[in-house]
Amino acid sequence: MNKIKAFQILSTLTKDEFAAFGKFIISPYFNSSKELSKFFSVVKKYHPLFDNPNLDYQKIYKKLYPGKKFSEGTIRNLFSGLTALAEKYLGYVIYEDSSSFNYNVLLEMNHRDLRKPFLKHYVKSKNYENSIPDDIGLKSLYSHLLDSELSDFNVRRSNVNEPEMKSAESLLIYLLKFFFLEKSNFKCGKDNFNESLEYNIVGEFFERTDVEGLINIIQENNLNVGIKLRLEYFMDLAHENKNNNFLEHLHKALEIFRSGEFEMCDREKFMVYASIHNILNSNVKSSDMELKRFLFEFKKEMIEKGITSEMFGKMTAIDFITAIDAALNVREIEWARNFIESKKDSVEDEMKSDLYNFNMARVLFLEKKYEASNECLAKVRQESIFFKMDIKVHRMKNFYELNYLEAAFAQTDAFKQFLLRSDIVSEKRHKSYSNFLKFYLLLLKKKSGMEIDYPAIKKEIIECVSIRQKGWLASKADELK
Amino acid sequence: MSQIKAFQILSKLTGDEFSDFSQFIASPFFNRSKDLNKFFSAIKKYYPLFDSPNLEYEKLYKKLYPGRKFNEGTISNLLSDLGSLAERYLGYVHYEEGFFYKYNVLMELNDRAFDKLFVKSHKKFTEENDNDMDTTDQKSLYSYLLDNEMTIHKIRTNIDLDVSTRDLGAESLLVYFLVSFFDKDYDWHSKYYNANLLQDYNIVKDFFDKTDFAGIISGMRKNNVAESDKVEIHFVLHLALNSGGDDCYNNAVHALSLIRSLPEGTNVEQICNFYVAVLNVINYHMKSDDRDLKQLSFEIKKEMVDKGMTSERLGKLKEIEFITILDAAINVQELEWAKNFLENKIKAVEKSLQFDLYNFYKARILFDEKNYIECNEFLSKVNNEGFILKMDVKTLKMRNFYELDFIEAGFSAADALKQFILRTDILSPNRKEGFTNFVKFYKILLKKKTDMDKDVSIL
Repeated sequence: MNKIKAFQILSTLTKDEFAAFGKFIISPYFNSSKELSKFFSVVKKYHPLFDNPNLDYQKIYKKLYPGKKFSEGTIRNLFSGLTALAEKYLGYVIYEDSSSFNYNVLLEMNHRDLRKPFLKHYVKSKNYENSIPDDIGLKSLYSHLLDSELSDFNVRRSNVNEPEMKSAESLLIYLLKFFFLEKSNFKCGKDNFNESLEYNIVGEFFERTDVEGLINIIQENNLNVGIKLRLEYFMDLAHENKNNNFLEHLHKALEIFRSGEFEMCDREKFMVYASIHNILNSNVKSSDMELKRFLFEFKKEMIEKGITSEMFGKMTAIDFITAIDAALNVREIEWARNFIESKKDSVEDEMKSDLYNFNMARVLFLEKKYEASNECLAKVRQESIFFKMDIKVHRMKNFYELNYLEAAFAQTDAFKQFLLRSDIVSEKRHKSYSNFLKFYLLLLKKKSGMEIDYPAIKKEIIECVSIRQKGWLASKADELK
Repeated sequence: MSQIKAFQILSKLTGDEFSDFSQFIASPFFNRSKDLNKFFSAIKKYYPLFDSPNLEYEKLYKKLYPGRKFNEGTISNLLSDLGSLAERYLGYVHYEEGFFYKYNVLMELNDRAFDKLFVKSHKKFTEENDNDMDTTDQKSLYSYLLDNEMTIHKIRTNIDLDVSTRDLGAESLLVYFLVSFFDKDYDWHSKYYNANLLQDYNIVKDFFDKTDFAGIISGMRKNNVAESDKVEIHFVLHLALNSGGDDCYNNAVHALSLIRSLPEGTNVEQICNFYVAVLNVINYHMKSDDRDLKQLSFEIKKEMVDKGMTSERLGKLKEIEFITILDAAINVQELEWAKNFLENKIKAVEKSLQFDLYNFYKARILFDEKNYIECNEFLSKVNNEGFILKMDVKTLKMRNFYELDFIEAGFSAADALKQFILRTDILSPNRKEGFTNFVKFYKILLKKKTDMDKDVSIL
């Protein structure tokens, strides 16, 4: 029964939402079919699973039309009607609690020239916008729309005493915030996947705009927002590593962030933490233990303060993995193990098992439990290209440590073939995996008794810019000296 | 009764909307109060005016609760609840037709991980938005919101972000932003700058000062960003607005050529708005002796008439548009064209205005043709009461007297106009000043004509 779209939608409704849907379906404003209301009253008791045998077409029909000959078409039509209403309801479920509702009411009041109610509703809507968390979540944009409506209202009524700039300011703030975020995302894409765009409108905007000058002006008139934008500005400079002043800009950003000079909601704090984490990640070099430690402590602080994506429901895979990366980079193995165990249920159900096994395999590897690590890796589904490649790399490392040389050579060949065939890996990632393979193979040959030019290989590993598992390869090269 | 919020709102609903509201109030999703339903049944017959004496509190109470002692609080509460519901209804009345319904459905589909349905609906809504008749700024804003939702979807469903995921939205948002800022700049010029309102904080001006937006727009055009052709028109109009003299003229001509080269299938409303925007910029800068801008203004209006891009396409030709078109033609002495337009289009304006408008413009054309007697005959047919051009009728009559050497009549009309200006409060300060000056100099010229003592060199 769960293949039926109506049930799929209805099963995602919370108890309260489902109760509201009960009212929705009997409301003449939305539904005039009494048959459909009756049909719903028959099926509603099976919420949320809708897997009861009583939901069989014939049984439902019998209940609705006792004594009448079964007609499958009738039930199908009722299901189709229920689906349409359930889909429609999705547009209403949070509508009245959203900014768009306030905006639509204001719009209608303006169009109908309802002067007093308009002004009252404008104040109410602005207060609502001010009370909700301020982040990239459209607050400034809605504020801009409300102010634009007020501006139209004033113009129409010739109520213009002073120039209206609030709506323009809200829009500029929104644009700057969104563009800072976009710029940071581009930078991450560039760093991690060597991605670039022929035309990058965000980059062009920043190149051609005196952003600092604009922030100064905004800050003079709107201190709280101005400081927040300044924080974003310094984070941006740090991310760009402008004039090689990465640390100086980062500390300026952190100084503002920790100063407590302005109000910030949880989502905003999360966004700032996430951005600073990305900036650190972009700038950290494999040999820079000090910065790696700083990164870990920063991530730990986020988790201890509960400022993770878990605040908004489930923890994202990225949030989960980056925490473990940060810990393992500084050999905080126990912390990583505890994190995996305590947070394994916080991620999406679909990814829970893979994230647990893959990351536990990494922990076990560092604990030198190579067999156990391989067992965990074997449990990971290999659908994601990135999981798939890292599973191979970790398995190869396990084989190497276990001296399973034949298996290691076989895995190397398989991986090589895979890289040759695959066209969905970015150039930079391809290169880093290829370089890993190259040096892994050389080390393996040395381990199996072949002669290699050790100093040259060690030097090459150290100097290689794009390479997976550089630290491990270098340490293995030292062991074979 | 008109002070009551419920009635204020309900009286602004159309007949269809009001019957829709009856369904709304009867819906348990919005209202569970039977008393309120009963109350609404009692008052709905007084829609739309709600001015019947039967709407007195005591009468309503008696109708709802026969035999019970009157309680004002009960009726106040019912009216207050009805007002709240009526206000809520405004949020629903066009909700399903608008963008935010689609957007909210998409957000819910995304939140509830209905991925296939999300992608299908996203595609459908994006196509609808692309084909919609909305203006560039609205379209771009909605496009941005849709793209943003797609980004959220991609982030949620795939941890391996690619660059195309992140690229979504930024272009649409910047288009929306730039068009909004160009509009704001125009508003500032037309409403505040003219009124000599200075301000410390003008973020729009600051933005334009601190941004090489010409470079940004040039990049957008080169890279065929959606709607960038229209952004460029806004940009050139912005240049025209912020320049004077030849630069203004050249930029207005450039804007016009860009409008003319918009691709076929461009929303007619948008093209009309662009034409109007060029005219507004020209009006902003046009001085009485600026022949080039006057000629350009006329050419644009003529083009709009020829292409059917006046308000007539929506029903009636607006009175103000009719007037400005004829004024533009007469200003550049295109009298034959003006005559044809007057004869052909007078029926297109609101019936009640046709007679006065026809006679007034017939008179104006005759004046320029130096047929002053005939001109006065047409002017005398105009019913001045409530006529938008009441003042212009008076001044034209005075000009006729002058040309005809009707000196006494000229002086009398000038005095009458002076008194009228002193008494009237319907004229804006600017117009008042304009007419006062006209009277002042008219009298000087008249005195000179009668060999009285004034030296016209001071004019």
